[in-house]
Amino acid sequence: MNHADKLAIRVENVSKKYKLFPSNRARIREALDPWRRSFHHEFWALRDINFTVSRGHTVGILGMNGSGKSTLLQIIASVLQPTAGTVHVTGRVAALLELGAGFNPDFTARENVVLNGTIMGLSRSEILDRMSSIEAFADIGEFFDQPMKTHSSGMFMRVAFATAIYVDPEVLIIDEALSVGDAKFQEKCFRRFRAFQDDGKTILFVTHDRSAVPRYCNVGLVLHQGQLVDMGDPGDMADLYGEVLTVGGLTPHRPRQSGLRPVVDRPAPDAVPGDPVGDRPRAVTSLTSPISVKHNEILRQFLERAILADQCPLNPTYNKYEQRFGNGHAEIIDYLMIEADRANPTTIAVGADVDFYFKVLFHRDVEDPIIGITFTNSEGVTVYAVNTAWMKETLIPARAGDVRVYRYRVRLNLGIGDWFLEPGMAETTTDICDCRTALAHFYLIDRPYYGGLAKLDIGFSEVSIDTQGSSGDPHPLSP
Amino acid sequence: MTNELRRDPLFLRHTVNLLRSFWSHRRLIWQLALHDLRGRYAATLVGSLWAVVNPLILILVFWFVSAHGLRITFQKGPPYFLIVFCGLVPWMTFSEALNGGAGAVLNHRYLVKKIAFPLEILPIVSAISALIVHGFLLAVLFVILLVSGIPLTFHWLQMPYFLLGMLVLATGFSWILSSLNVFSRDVSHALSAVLTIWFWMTPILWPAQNLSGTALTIVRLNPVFYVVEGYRNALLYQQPLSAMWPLDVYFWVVSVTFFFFGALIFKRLKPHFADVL
Repeated sequence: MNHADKLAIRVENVSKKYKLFPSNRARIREALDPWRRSFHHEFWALRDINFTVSRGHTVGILGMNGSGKSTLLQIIASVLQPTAGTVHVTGRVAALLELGAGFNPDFTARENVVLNGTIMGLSRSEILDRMSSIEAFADIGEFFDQPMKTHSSGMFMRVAFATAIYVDPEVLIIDEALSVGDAKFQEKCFRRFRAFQDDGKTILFVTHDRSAVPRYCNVGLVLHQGQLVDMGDPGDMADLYGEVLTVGGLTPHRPRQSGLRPVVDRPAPDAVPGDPVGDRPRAVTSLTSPISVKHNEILRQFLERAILADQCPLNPTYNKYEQRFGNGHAEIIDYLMIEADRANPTTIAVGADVDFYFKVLFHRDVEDPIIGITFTNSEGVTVYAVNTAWMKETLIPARAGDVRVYRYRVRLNLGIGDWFLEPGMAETTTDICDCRTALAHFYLIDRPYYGGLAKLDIGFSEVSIDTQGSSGDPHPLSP
Repeated sequence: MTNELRRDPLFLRHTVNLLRSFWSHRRLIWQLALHDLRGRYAATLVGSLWAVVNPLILILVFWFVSAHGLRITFQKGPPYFLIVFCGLVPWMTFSEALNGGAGAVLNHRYLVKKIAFPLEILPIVSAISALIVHGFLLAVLFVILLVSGIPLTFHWLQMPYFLLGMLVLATGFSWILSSLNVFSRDVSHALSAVLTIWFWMTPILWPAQNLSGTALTIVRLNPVFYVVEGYRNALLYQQPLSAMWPLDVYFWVVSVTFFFFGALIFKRLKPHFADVL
C-alpha cells in the first residue's frame, strides 16, 4: 500500500465564496442573466485550505461560530462545491450535517432509513438486512415506527446516527449533531467511534467541547475566519483553540509553530535582577510575594485611569456576553489581571499566581462593603467562590462618590480549559450592589494533558504483586 | 450562457450527464416516487386508491356534464364517453406531473439542505409518480375500451411513443417550474390558473373538428393537443402515426427545446436552492 492509498481525504487549495444577495430577485437575475452580470456581495467562508487526512484517523475540528467549519465539512461531504480547489475523498461518505437533513418528517423512522440508505447507494435488500441492527442501535422503542415529526430531537439524532453508521461508510462526517444526544448515547457513539477507528475508517467531527478532541481524536484542526490556523496534536490544537477563543482575533496566516502563543514561563523581561518574581520558579512563588517593578508600573497605570465610567469592556479578557445585576449602590467600573508581570493575559498556565484588581465606584454610603469573586467554567458551574465576609475581612466603610480598588491574589489550580471570572460587590451577603457574571474570560493551559475542573497533585506507579522478591519500591504510591 | 455554449454547444454534454444521472439513480427515483404517492395519501384509509378514484370520478362528471348538459357531440364514430376518457387520461397525467413538478423541490426540502443529493432527479420523480397513477387509469381505460368493443390493434403500440413525448414535455416544464417556485410561490398559484385555461383550450371535452382556419392552427400549436389526439388516434380511431404529420416535428422541437431550456434553468438555479429554502 503506497502513501496515496492511505489517504482518506485530500483537500487542496479549497476556497469557498458565498454570494450574498440583497434580495431573491437579484439572485434569480444573476443566475439567469444572459450577460452574466453580477448582483451580489462576496463573502469568503474558506480561503485556501490545504490538508490531508490519513485513513483510520479521527479528526476533531475546532473553530468559533462562523469560522467555516460547517462549510468545510459540507464541501468534503460534497454537499457544497468549492469555489476553488479540489477535494478527494476515498470511499463512501456518510455525513450528519444537520438534524433532519435527508429525513422526511412525515414518514416513520423505518421508512426513512430505507430512503436514506437508497440515497447512500444501498439496495433495498442491503438496507433491510441491516434494519434490525439500526433499530437496535437507535434504541427508541416503538417510536421507530412512528412518523419522525413525533420524534424528539434526540430520537431524530439516534436514527440518523444509526443509519449513518450502518450504511458502512469509509468516511463519517459529523457536524455537532451528537451534542443533542444524552450522555449515555454520546458515550455509545464514542465507543462506536473506537470500533470505526479500529476498522481503519476515517471520522471528521466538529465539536465545541474542547476536551473531546484530545480524548477521542488523533488529530486536531483549528479553523479561524475561514483559514486553517493549524493541524496537529489534539492537545496542542485544543490549547490553540482556547487561545483563539479568548484573544478573539488571531492574525491570519499564522506560520506553524510560531511564537504567537504567549510564552507563559518566561521570566519577566523588565524584572529587576534579583527580584523575587522574576527569578524564582513560579511554582513556589508565595501568595504574599513582593510586587515587582513591572507589576507596579502596570498597577500605577490602572490606578491613574480616572474615568468614572465602566472601563471593563476595554480589557482584552472582557467577555461581551457577561451578565450583570445588582441594586447599583456601587459599581465595578474596571478590573485588571496581572500574572508574572503580564497585564490581562488571556492564556495562563495552570498553577500560576494571578492578581485580580477591581476598581469600585460607590454611589451610596456603604457601611460594610463586601467584595467576592467566583470562578465558573463554560457550563456555568461554580468551581470556587469566596468573599471578604466569609474571609472575615472587614472593609473600610465607603461614602458616596468614593472610588476604591481591591485586590485578590489567586493561585489558579483549576483544570485545563476556559474559565470565567465573576466579581461581585455587596452591602450584605444577600444585598448585591453589582454582580458581573462571566465578566472576564481566560484560558488555562498545562502539559501533560489531564481532564476535569481542578488540578490535583498526582502520583502514579505500578504495584508489584510479587510479594516474595520485595526488592522494589517500598513506597509505590509516593509521587 | 455564452461560456457554456462555447464549452458545450447544444448542451449535449449536460444532457448526457443528466440522463446518466437518471439512470444511475433509478432505484432512488422509484423509491421517491412511491414515497411521493404514499406521502400524499398518508393519513387516509384507502390510501393511494384516491389517486385513481378521484380522476375517475372527475372523468364521469365531465362526461355527464358535456354529453347530457352541454350536449357536445363528435361527428366521428366511437361513443363520446370514450373520446372524453381517452383525452382526459393523458391530460390529467400531464397536469398532475406539472403540479407535482412545481412543488418537486419545495416538497423535498429535507433533501435540499445539508445532504449530498442529486436534486436534478426531483422533477423526474414527480413525473414518475404521475405515471404510476397513469398506469392504473390506462388499465381502467383499456378494460372499458375492450368492453365497448373497440378492437385491439397494432395501433395501440403507439401509446408508449406518445407517453414518452408527454414525459419529455412535462419534465422540461417541471425543471423550470420547480426551480422558479423555490424563489417565489407565485409560480404554483399562476400554474393552476394557466392549467385551467390550458385545459379548456385543448380539445379534450370538445371536438377539434368544430374549429377551422386560424382557430384550428392555434389549437394545433398546443403541444398537449398532439399527445391527446395521439392517444385517441392510437386507441380509438386506429390511425397510423403518420396521421398527424408534420405536427410530430413541431411537437418534438417544442418538447426538446423546453427540455434543454428547463435543464439549463434548473442547473443555473440549483446552487441557490439551499440558500433560499
